Amino acid sequence: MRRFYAVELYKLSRRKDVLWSLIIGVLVPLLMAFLAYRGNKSLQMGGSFSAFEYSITMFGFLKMLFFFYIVFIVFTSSIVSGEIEEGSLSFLIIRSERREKIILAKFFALLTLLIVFVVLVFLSGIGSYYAFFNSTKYATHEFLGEPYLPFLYALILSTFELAFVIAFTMLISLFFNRYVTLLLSMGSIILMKVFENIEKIKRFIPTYISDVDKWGITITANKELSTKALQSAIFLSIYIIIILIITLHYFLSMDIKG
Amino acid sequence: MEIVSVESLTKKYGKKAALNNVSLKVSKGEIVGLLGPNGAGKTTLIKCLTGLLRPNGGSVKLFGYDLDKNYSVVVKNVGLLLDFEMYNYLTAYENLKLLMIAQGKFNKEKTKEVLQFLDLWEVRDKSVTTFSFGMKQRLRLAQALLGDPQLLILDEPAVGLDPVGIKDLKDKLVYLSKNKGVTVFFSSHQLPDVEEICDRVILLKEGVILFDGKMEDIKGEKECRITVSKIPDTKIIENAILKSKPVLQNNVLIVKEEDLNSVLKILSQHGIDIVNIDVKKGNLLDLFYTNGGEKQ
Repeated sequence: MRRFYAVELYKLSRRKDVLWSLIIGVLVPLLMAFLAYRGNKSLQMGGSFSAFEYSITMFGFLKMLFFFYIVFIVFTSSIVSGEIEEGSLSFLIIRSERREKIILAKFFALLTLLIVFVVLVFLSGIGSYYAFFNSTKYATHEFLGEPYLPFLYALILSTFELAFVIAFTMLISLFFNRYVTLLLSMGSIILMKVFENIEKIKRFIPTYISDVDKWGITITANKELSTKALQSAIFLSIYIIIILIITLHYFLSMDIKG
Repeated sequence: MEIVSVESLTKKYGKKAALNNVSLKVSKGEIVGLLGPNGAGKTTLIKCLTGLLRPNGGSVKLFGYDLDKNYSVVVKNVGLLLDFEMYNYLTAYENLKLLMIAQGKFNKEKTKEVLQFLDLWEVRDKSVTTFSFGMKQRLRLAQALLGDPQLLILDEPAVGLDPVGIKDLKDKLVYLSKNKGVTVFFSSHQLPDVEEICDRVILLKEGVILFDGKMEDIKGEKECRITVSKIPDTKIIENAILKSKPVLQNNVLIVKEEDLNSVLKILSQHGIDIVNIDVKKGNLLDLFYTNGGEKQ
């Protein structure tokens, strides 16, 4: 599978939409820190932030704007349903002893790109903090600050949630063209956000499982928080694995019409 | 040795059978042309041969191995050309490099050789989006030739190529077949090209093989073109017991040599005068028309 993983990573690295999305992801924390530094009145931040908290808050801000959902749904639908539609996937299939290698390589390449995004946005947040934000009234002038665990778990679980979105979009991509996939995936996320408000089912909804703020646990209750975070990570992993199994099962038997 | 062996292959799209009980064999080093009107099932057959489509029935064996159970045989030995898009955001060189990595190992020399052969070396660093259709087709051909395949399966390889490109392609296919024992199975609408290089021809229509024979047999068959004074009622000719179905083109009736006497007798019985009789060797075009092919 390694060689297909290398192929997928190379393709992603050469896409202009990937490059532009990364630039936007890096620029947003920088821009927000700069606005705070210039004392922009339209920017109102509740409380004060350490460098770590600021960085993860910026990640949460981008997620709240659906930025990560949109970019990863676009990337996933392009490299799965886009390649099926155009037929370029066939050139890889006839070079692979087993079809599942291709779909797994695509998933892990997208996962790698997700981690690159998370790391770059995080680093951009830290850099922006020390470049501009540290000298504003919102800064605590610390690196970690207390409590930092809820922020750390929020970042980790958001990454799991986005991995779930990638797996889910991959599955939809096998059935529909890239535009329908985009609409269905985005629609599903919005639906999940709605279902988060239904008491009976919310604990099964991936967007709720990954949202630390909604758990209602006192942020200083570290042990309880850690246990819940671990449970959530396991839950999301199970979801991802189940979706990948269904995707592989269908992909193995499907016609590649092009 | 049989390189391709297809038994009772059936592929349906919904209720419609795109391939209906197709059986064929291709031997090592043969160049086999797959002909048929649009929608005959040529591309479906090619996709079934390479595992891209999952058949509803029958079996495909390549190099003696069942395709379902030994797909690695395709990976190692088959070069496939289909009318599919390459990665347009990459350059020609990057496209081939990626596919070679997927194949196992990137070989700079091989990539250069293939690009040079297909006159793409000069434009290797240009994005595929800037390529004309013909250049894209040559790039598709290039990827099929990577890895020195023992079986080339090509879906309309000459489409988009200029006359020089088509000649180069034919020369290369013949060279690969005769000198390196490569088996070539390709579909085409270019009947003269098929006639020129193929050892064998398979004619497919509505998912069924109508004809499977050697080129020398087709060329050896004589056909008669009977020019008549007035257009006869086709029913009277159809009612006669003939060895093959005659074709009527305007006031010219095309029949096989062995049916000539029977047809002349019927025409005479119905008072139709014969203006001219022209006897000539068979060719693919007539075979195509005789078997209900559409004019290309």
